Amino acid sequence: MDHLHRNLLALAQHQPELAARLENTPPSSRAEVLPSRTGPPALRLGRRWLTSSVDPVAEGRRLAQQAPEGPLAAFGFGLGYHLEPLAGRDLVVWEPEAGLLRLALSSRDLSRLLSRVRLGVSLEELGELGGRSFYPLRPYARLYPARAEALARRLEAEPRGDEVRPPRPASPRVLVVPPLLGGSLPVAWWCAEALAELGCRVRSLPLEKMSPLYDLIRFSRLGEDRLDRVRAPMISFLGELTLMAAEEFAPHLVLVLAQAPLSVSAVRALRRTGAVVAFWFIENYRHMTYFREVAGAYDHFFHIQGQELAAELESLGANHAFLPLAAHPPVHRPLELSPRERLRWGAQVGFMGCGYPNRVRIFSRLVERGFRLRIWGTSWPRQGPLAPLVAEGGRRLSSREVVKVYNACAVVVNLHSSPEPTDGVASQDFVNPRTLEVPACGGFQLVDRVRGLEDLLRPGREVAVFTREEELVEMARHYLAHPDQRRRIAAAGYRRVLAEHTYYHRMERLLTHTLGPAAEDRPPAEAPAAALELLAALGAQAPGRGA
Amino acid sequence: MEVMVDGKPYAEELAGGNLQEVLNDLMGRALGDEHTLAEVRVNGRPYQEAELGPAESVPREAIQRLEVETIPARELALHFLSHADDYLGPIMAAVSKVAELFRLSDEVEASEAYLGTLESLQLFLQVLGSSRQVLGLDFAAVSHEGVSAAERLERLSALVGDLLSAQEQEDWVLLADILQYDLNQELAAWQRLVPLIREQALC
Repeated sequence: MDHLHRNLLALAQHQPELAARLENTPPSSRAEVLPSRTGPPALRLGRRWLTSSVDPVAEGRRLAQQAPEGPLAAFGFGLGYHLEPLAGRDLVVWEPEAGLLRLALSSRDLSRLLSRVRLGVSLEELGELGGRSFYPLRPYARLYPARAEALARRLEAEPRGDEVRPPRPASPRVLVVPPLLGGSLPVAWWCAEALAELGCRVRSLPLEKMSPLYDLIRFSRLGEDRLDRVRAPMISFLGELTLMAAEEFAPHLVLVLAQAPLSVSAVRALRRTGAVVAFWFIENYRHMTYFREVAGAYDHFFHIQGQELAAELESLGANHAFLPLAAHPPVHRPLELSPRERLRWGAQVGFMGCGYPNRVRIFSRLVERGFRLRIWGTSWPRQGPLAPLVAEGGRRLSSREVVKVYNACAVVVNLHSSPEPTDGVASQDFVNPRTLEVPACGGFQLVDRVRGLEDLLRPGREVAVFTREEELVEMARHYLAHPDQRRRIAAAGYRRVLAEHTYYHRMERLLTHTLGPAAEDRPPAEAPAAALELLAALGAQAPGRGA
Repeated sequence: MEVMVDGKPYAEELAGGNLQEVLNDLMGRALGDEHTLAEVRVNGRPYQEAELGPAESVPREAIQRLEVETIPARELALHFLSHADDYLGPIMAAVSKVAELFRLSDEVEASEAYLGTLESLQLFLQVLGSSRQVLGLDFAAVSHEGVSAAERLERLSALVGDLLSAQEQEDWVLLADILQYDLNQELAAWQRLVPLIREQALC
């Protein structure tokens, strides 16, 4: 058996997924394994050596001698020489380049080492790191400085083994910094409400009051240079204002929502006040690329997308974590609607959302073939097959109105957005908030399959899922004909969202991640009393109604 | 400015706007190739760069009294050959330390130590070259384990080239390898060669 298969076999004993992935990963084409002067293989990447070219075994031994005591988080696998003497220790290893790891596994017998350490090719794969010391392979730290920094920061953020992480304050002070406008603004309010329900003392900056002033800039026809001369001092002012509020309020945590008007220097100044500063990036990173400039400045960067973004954040040195969107039960809830309201906000099949190019293309085609749909939301074409289907003049609906739509439609279609008109059904890698808001309203949802959906709701049981345009039409017809099935799925989705996917859950997770776990004597913060009371009051209502 | 050379007044006016230029003029005019400076005192106190700064930065106007002690260049060369181990030992230890720093630490810290070590090595080579000239030594005729001192000098020069190349490529692991395995091996060979060179000088 060759080295690769022996090594993969050893790895597969306790990390079968990684072993399978590495088996299908091509070895790095930039690196080569060459015999060292003393014989054992040595590793070179491009024009630089990653291990000693003379005696990598002795070098590995020497490096291991210098390793800190106790459990370790190693950065860089190399050819494993610096890890083998430590194989008896509690050791996790982050190899930032899977191709290099694959090459290493082909180069020598590492089976003994691999059976005793935990490996990851991304920071997230390493799992809990509390109590570990940083053990970098220097050539790797020079090659991937931001990732090495990210690991070091993660280790600093998590308590050492001999330290007991202090519980977070019983009533932590949290300053919420919302954007001036846009979809993140209500999320900021809901986060603030959830944090207050969880026992935090919350102060939310009313930055939305600046929105009319900002509109003067947004809708101006003057050139960018001229507008920048207004925008820059405005951003600077709002940063100072936030800092002033932080100095007065002395928050334990500053929670900044996507598009909040804070510069990197303002974020750094906030951190200097002693507050933990966290950012929740509830955007599609492929279209909102500003995150690259700010991610590394925050203590914690939360996002709603998966592995690809995680890899990029690691390269930026950001201390990041996945935190999906949620529903807010005080807003997203079953309603008793009057017949008139049902007429105004209901439909057999309804869609609520912006007219993104992919939606316009797909819905236009389906409508032309006879698919019946009613649409709410902005940015839909004024002409063409969709124009007569747009309700309320295509205006922006308030959150309360949106909830009425989710309550009144028999089938709520959810098609994830893309600015690319050619993007088809089920092409996105994030779960939009509607996915959880519709079930929270007791509505029946037909959503396109996107990556990560299964982690939140069980397709077919808690949500109906389509993967092709034709399937959307077929499933809509099917479920309209089977109201009992709609009710069953809607009720299961409703239970799941309330049990796991509210802003209470998200904020509890965020607090634990940023400030540590709640004190033991506190009641579990999963479902705050006020929310439970509200749900009890609504208990008589059976979610999953038809239109 | 009053000037004393080996305890005797030096009457000629020396040119130069700072201490370095004055000493250069003095060595060119009064010392020749036969003697070299052993000690310099400025205004009654031994000149130390750490205290007064580089000789170029000491203005002529600040020097009221300059005293120099000289030593015959041959004597100095023999002294160097007799005590070469005192220079080579610390250089070798520093080389090992620097190699380890390049493997374990960030290159900024390692580079600082590396530059200091490189300066010491260059000084050693400079004094070795002066000694060879003053004593009229034939490095091709002195050898150890079949390699002559002349060849060893060439190897050292080639190694310095390799170090510079690794440095340019920012290949710090290769730099550590050259330092730890190649340069130190050559310096160890010089430790064995220098006594043989001294024997040749005394013959």
